[in-house]
Amino acid sequence: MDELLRVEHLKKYFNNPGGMLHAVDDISFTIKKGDVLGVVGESGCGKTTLGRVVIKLLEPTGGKIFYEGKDITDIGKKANIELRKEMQIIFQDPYSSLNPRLHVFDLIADPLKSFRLMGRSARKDKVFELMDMVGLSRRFAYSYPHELDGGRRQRIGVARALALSPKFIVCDEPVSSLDVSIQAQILNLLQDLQKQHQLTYIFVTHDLSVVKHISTDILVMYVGAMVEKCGAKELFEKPLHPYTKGLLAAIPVPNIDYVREKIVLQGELSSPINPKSECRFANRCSYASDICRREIPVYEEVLPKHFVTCHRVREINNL
Amino acid sequence: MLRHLVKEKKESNPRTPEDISVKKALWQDVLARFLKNKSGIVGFSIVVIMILLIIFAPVITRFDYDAQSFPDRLLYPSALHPFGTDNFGRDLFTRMLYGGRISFMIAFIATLISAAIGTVFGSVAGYFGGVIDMIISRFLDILMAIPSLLLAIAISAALGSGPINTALALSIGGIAISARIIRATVMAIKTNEYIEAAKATGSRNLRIIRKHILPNTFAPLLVNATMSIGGSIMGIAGLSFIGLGVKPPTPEWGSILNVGREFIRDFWPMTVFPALFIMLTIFGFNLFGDALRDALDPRLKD
Repeated sequence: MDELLRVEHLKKYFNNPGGMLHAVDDISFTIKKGDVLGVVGESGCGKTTLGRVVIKLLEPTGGKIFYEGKDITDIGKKANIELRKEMQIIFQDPYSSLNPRLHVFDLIADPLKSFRLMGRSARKDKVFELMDMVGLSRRFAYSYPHELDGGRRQRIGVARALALSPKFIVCDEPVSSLDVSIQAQILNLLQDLQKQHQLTYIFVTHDLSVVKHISTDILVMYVGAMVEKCGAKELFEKPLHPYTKGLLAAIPVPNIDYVREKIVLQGELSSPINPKSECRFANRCSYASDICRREIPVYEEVLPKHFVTCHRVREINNL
Repeated sequence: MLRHLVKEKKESNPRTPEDISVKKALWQDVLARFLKNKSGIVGFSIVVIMILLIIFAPVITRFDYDAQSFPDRLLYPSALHPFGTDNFGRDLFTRMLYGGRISFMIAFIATLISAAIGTVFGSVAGYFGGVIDMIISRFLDILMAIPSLLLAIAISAALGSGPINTALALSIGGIAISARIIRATVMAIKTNEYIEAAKATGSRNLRIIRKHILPNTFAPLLVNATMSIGGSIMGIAGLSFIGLGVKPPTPEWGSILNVGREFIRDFWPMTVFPALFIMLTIFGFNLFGDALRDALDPRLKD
């Protein structure tokens, strides 16, 4: 299978009163067609920014983005708008991501209207078809978003993202503001759509259990930088980085007899503003040694297709 | 509690597929909230009565507003002349009604002009931000720094008096205020994710402003316009009072007041009635505007 998206040394810095905020710092990955890359990390680690930059909603500070082999890093405004037909995004908050003045029909028809893609009646058919696709009853077509519950609202967001028939979708925490009972519905919907339409996802979330089933690969981020990347199954079975281990240990297991090693991540995130030249995780890491506080670790392939950014990864895991 | 009940009621009575083509209007909500506000209804009634009076002036009174009658000058209110007569023997009630026409018309035009120009400046400044915002904002600061009545006097003096010039003069002071309101509203709306969603689905900037931002600024704009009509009526009266607005013999509340000033010691109707009309109208518009703001603000629901 061929690659759909390749990102090389992607950087996004924001100018901040305190200095440069490194929201995304030197991130590289490749996504194959039909794959799902889960991006996991704590709040504020830059995972949302990464999603925005990859689909060019934000201009990157450095690095390159290749889509279907073409460099899309520095294309003009017009080409950027054309790119919207290829790449879409589903937002986290189904409340603020829907214009309260438009009803469901107009919300879903908006992308079609902005590209003037089809006539009125064809558009109507397309919108209803999209509503069926995301499991939104047609009787809600002229309801306003504030009249619907979170799950239905998020379905509107999904339908809107699908309206232009994109190949690539960034799901930016699409379920984290929903009730747990509805989370599963939306996740299943996204998974079904992905399979039916051979979509490629970047699935951003702070909840590892959410990406466990849907992802092909998982990328763990920490304060703007990559920490670990490997196949989803391997990450859960054999996490190598101390941070990933901590994250996995924090997932609750619904079994009272289950005893496990407790890894508590102490301390706070290091500041993403003008980061020091050290391992960003060093001040919370129980394995941290001198070298961790002196040098930035490199992102390397420790096991086949298993990348880790850690000075001591081999010692810790006895490799 | 109440909210819960309302929600349940809605769900137990879902709209059937047949009526999906019926658009439910947001204004029904707004109307319900407005009707709960007593002072708003009072304000609205005052405004409506005033407008009806001036529209149907020819039906309500059988006098001409410029029919002079020397023997009847400075008569006190009576059954024939409910407000009395002025120093030329013209029926004061008739002159008040026709005078209102000019005031309301100029006030509406002035408000429309300032709202339209203010919306353009405000939305551009608020949406694009950066250098564009800075240039427009400083320009508005300069406009704001000049007292609006003084500015209106200067413009009237330069362009000459007359209804259109008066409207122009008054609108310029209002541009800065409406532009500021729109700018602040647009900046608040811009942070919503649905604006980013519109960008993500390929909308260009102008389309985003037109389709996604301006409809959401309508409420504050309407409230501001209502209030500013009251202010404009006062401004017109002020300009006419000092002789720069509408010229006699065209009746206008401010100019009637101005003439009445000469007789203030001996003949009260010529000052009291115009002043009362001006006051009542502005009072009505302000109450109406306040109630509109409360009704249109969805955060104050229930």
